[in-house]
Parts: sequence; structure tokens; C-alpha cells
Amino acid sequence: MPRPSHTFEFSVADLMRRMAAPCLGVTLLAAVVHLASLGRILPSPVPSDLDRTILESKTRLASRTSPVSVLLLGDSSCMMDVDALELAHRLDRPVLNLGTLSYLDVSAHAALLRHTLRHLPSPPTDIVLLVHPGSLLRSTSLPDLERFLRARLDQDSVRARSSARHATEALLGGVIVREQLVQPWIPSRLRGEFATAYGTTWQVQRQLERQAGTLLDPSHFDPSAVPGRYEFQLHARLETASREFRSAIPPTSRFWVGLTPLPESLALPQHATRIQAVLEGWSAWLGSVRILPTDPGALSADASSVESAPQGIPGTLPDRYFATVTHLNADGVAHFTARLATELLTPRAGATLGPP
Amino acid sequence: MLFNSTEFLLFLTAFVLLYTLVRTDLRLRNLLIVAASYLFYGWWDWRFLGLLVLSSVVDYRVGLGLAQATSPRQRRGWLALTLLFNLGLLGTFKYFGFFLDSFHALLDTLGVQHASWTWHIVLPVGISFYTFQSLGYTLDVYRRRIEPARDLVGFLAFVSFFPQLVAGPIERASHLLPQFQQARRIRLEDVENGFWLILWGLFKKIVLADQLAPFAELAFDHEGLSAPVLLLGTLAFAGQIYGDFSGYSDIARGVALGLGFELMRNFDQPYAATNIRDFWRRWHVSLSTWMRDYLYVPLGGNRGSEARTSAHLLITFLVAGLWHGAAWNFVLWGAWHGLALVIHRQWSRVSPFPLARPVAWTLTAATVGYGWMLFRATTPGSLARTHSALLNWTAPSWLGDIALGITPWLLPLMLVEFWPGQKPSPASLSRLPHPARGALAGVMILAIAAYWERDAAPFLYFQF
Repeated sequence: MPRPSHTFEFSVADLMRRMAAPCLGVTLLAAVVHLASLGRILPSPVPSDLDRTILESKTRLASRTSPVSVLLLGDSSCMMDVDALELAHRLDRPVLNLGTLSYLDVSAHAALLRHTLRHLPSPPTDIVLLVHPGSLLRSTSLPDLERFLRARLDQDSVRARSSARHATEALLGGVIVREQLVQPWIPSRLRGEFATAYGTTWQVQRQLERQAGTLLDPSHFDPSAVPGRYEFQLHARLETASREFRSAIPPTSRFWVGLTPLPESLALPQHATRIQAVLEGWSAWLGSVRILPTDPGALSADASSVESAPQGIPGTLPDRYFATVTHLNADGVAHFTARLATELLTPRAGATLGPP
Repeated sequence: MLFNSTEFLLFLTAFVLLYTLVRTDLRLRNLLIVAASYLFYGWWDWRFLGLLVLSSVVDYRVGLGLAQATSPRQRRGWLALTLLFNLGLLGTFKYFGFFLDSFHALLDTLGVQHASWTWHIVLPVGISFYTFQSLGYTLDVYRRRIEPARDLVGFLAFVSFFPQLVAGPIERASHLLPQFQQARRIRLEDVENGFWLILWGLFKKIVLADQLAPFAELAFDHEGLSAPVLLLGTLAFAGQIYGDFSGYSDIARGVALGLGFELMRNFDQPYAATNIRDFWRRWHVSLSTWMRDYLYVPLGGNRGSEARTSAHLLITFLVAGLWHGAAWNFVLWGAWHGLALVIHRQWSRVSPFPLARPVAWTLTAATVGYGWMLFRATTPGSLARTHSALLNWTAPSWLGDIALGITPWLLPLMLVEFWPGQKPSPASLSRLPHPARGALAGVMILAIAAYWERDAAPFLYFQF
């Protein structure tokens, strides 16, 4: 004879009555959150990761209305290899570094450029597109990051939010709560060496504001951890994006293009010559552009002295100048910035390609 | 299976539906609980299910053997078997690699040539919890405090009860085992209190502890940081470990309550403690009372000289430290707490006056905080970094950000911890007016949904 196990001393109706208040509370609050979002009365979504924090800061910098004479655009190597304030000092002209991320393609850089030009009082004298040779292989942006950038540029807070990971999160407005109600008021901790150097996303934002868009990579380069050497080429899809970028350049601005350096130990023999050829191929798609020539002697040159260094921007630099494979450290940034300033001050004959 | 996962919600829903269908047969109900608990445990790694079953069956047999034993010698034999088996299980799966590595390190230090062999064993989740629960049962039977279980299915359910299987509370057989032998009455209040416990537990884990975790990581897992960052990191970790572990306990109690079972309260506002003894009455109560009853008292407790009592305290807390993990930082943590308890005991004996409450609280908080530093610094490198950071008092420019980053997540915990008057409980929440209950549930559920399964971290105590 089985023994009774357990009894429920209430009916389903009792339970429903008792749980009605919490259920109603959730439903009403979720509705309020969604309505507030649709009514655009909530703050813009604030990301908690480094990449989107950088993009958010860059779109803010791109909306500035103060004059800019030299505008830098490109991938993360542009943002991290060129000290905008030092360049401004050397050129005696205001510089803004809108280099963003390697995960974005030239088309995304073009969108940022168009947005910036709409806000500047007058077009910059010089517009410099500076990317790492590896970025030339990238055919398209990472969709999430590009969507975020374009949404921020359009001030569309709904599109700028992350996608919900599951139906409940979408239904209850979890992303809205996180990105528009919580994160605007609380800094997020960074990871890795950026955490040690900058601590939180807020510090990165402040740093980008203070340094006119430049952010120093605090990592420590270990060449032994990188397998093999690099060979670079142009991706065929880059043509459309390059032409799009070119069409955004105002007729009164000088348009420059250049490639950021590679660690010496990772460069193939004749790297500078190869890169120069790649640059010239790219310039055919970019139209009228001044090439920042890659210095063929840099591989063997003692790069510690800018004055004694050969002309052109270095295609390679000694490993000690690097924070990562693609980013320079503080010494490297100082050196590269000085070389870039020299190039921008003294454009050589023959550096311009395409129709005048 | 993690409580903070969608699989668990689906599992629990399916289980509750089946649970309502087996109301008329106690044995069938227990069988269902055993099957569900094994599924819950096997979800993580089914290979270790055998260990759980073996542990349960051996201790069930030991219980019966103890009841049938006719001489003290036979009883001691059964006792030796259960101790050897349970501690052997822990020793093999949890401590063998640690002792082997330590032995190798000692030989290296002494310059002795030796063959270096290692044995990589996966630590079965929750082994320290269910082993102690099962061992506690046989020890109680040996001391004739309880009758042995004579229903295998009920006993298997007692050892493997899924809400508390992998991270406690470590239940006493005298409290939980009879609940599997009796029909349970499930009242509406139980279900509602269970709901609030689950909600508050999930909120503490997912919203508070998991958001504090990155700030603790920042302080403990990076080089070149300074004392101010470390102190804030320790504060974050103190909140994280409390939110994480007490969150688990609350969810476990809530689920059990909804099924008609009562589990013991594992935390009782521990950070409001004003001395270290008081802290251990409030923190991980199921472990501290287990250690007291099955180790400290059998060692001799406070029956004897002060020196012997101090030695018993130190031994008990060294074992408690080692229970948490096979690493030297846990040993140091246990030793630190043991030492603090000895000092507190001696101070209480000789002090002509009690310390002012704020002073006593501050001293206790500092002692517990330093303990958390030892606890969190899991590698020798991290331990060394932590202590060298204490000598560097330069504050990075982003220190204020860190303080601002941890405050919103610590605040709700501290609010409940230091709630004036009667402490908030699920029952008190159930008595709130409807709009207040609705708003509270709404806020908590929306916050849980916002952080649900984003960087879902396992509960910290799973590793123990």
C-alpha cells in the first residue's frame, strides 16, 4: 500500500491570486521600459566593452564643431600609433585622430568622415587615411560594430543597442535596462592590460577626449608569441569602399594615405618595396591621393633618431617600439608621430598620384 | 547544471509538473527526486555520477552495519570504513595532486633528485558537500544520535537532493532525512516564500555578485596595482563571494521550500558581525557547525587547557581552509581565521571591558577582509603581488571610477545586511502590500533578465 507523499494545501486559483502582483509588476515595468525607449526619453545606450566604448567616443569627437586642420582616419593602428597632440604641436595646427578599429572597413571610415565634415566649420586642410597593412585584407566590417557605429552617427538609440540574446531578454527589455538605464551611470571594468592602464571604460573615454582621439596601447609585445611572418595584399572588395571614401573628400582638402609599421622581426624581406607597391595599387582606387611613402631604409635604420632617419614613414620599426603586432608603444608612437609630421610638412614631388 | 541557466529553469518546470503527479506514493516521489537529482548532477559530467551513487550506497550500508553491530569493535570497524572511504574519496579526487605537487616542491627545495610524475584528476563538482553530508550521517549513527535509514531510495534522495547537492547547505541527517520519510504538506506561504528566496538568490548572484566579479578580478589578476585598488577589489570580492554563495543557498532553500522541504539557513547577516566568533556563527553556518560538531568537539573542544583549546581551534580552521580547496592560500585563510579566533578568545578572557561596537565591527571587517585577500589570491604569484601591492599607496587616476563601479552592486547587499530592526525575510516580503510586492518583483526580474546568461559564471563554491 503506497504511503501518501505530499499534499498541496492550496488551489491553482489561490496560487494565481497570490502571484498576480509580481506578474503584474513585471509586465507593467517592462511596458514602461519599452515605451520609454520608443519615446526616446532614455539616455543613449552605453556600451560596456572597449571596442564599442572607443566607437562611442569617436562618434562624439566626430560631432565636435571646433576647427580641425589635420584629420586622421583609419583603423586601430591609426588611433594608437599617432599622438594627435604631439602632431598638432609639430605642425602647429589642430589635429583630430578619428582612427577606430581594425574590425571596421574603409566604408565605415568613410561614414565617420562624412559625419565629421558635416559638423566641422570648414573642411580640414589635410585628411590622412592611415591603416595597418593587415587591414587591406579585410573585406567587410564586423556587422555588430559597424551597425553600432552607424547607429551612433545617426543618433539612433534603438539600433545602437546590442541584440537581445534570448526572447525573454527582448520581451522584458533586458538590453534597455542594461545599456540605457544602468550603464550610463556605472563605469565598466576593462580586461587585460587595458584594465591595468585605464581601469574602466570611463577612463578610456576621458583619455580619448584629452588626447584628441589618440589612445596608447599598454600591452607588451612578445614577438615569440606570433607565428610566422606577414604578407599583405589588397582585397578586391576594397575598391568600392575606397572609391566611396574618396568621394567624401572635400575638393579643398589634401588627401593622404599611408600604412602603419610592422615589427622588424615579422616583416618579409623587401617589405617596404612590397608595401609601396600595394599602396600604389590602392591609390588607383582612391583617386587623387598623396602617398605617405614607406621608408625602404627603415628596416635597417637606427630609428632612435628622427633627424637622422630616412625620409618617408617607416614600413617597419624595431620590435622594441611595439606594444602588440599592430600597435606601437609610447616610444614607437613618439617616433612614428615625428616621422609623420615631417612627411606632412614636406610633401615631396611625385608623392601625388592620380588626377590633380 | 547551473541555477543561473535556462536549462535549469526548464528542468525545474518539468520536475515540478512531474512532482504534482506523484502525490500519492512517497517512494515514487523519492524515486523521482533521485532520478532528477542524478540528471541534474550528470548534466555536468555523467561519469562522476558513479561516485555519488557509490558514496551514498557505502554510507547507507555503513549505517545498517552500525545498527547491526554487536560489539564496540565491530562498530569501530564500520566507523573506520566510512572515514577511510569518504576521506579517501576526497583525498584522491581533491587533494592527491596538491599533496603530490607540494611534495615535489619540497624535494626541489631540499635539492633531492626525484622523478616528476603528476596525476591530473578532474575535481567532481560538489564532492566536498555531499561527502560531508553523507559522512555526517554515518557519524551520527555511530554516536547513536539518529536511527539508520532503512529505505535506500529515501537515503539516496537525502544525499543527492538536487537543490543543495553541489553547494550546500550541508544538511544534517537528523534534519533532512526524516523529511524524505514523511509526507510533506506544501502551503501557499511556502511556495510564495520559496519564490521570493529564489528571486532574491538569483538577483544576488546574477545582478550583484557577477557584476562585482570583474572589479575583484581587476585587483587580483593584474600586475602593478596598488593598495587602494586592492582594497576596493577586496571589497568587491567580499560582496561577490557573499552574493554568490548566499545567493546559491537562497535559491536552494527556495526550490526546496516550494517542494515542501526545509533546508537550514546558511547565512545570517555575516558582515554585521562584531567579532570573528560571531562571524562564524553567521557565515556558512552549515559548514561551521559541521566542523564544530564533527571535528572541534571530538578533538576535545574547549574541555582542557587554553593551549589545547587554541590548538583545537587552529586545527579545525586549517581543515576548514583545506576543505575549501587544495591550495596553500586556502590553508593560509583557514590559519588566519583560526588565529583570529584564538586571539579573540584570549582577548575575551583577559579584557576588562568590551570594545565599542564600531571599533569591534571595524576590527572584524578588517580581519575578514584580509582573509578574503588570502582566499582570492589563488596562486603564489597572486599572493606575492597582493602583499607587495599593500606597500604601494599610489592611487591611479581611475580609482574613483572603480569605487563608483562597485557601489551600486554592493549597496543592495549592505542595505539588507545592516537593515535596522527586524531583518528582511521572504515572509516579510510576502506581507507587503500588493503594489510594493509587484514593484519589487518587477525590478528584480527585469534586472535578472538584463544580466541573465551574460558572462554566466558558475557559482564560486562549485569548485569546492
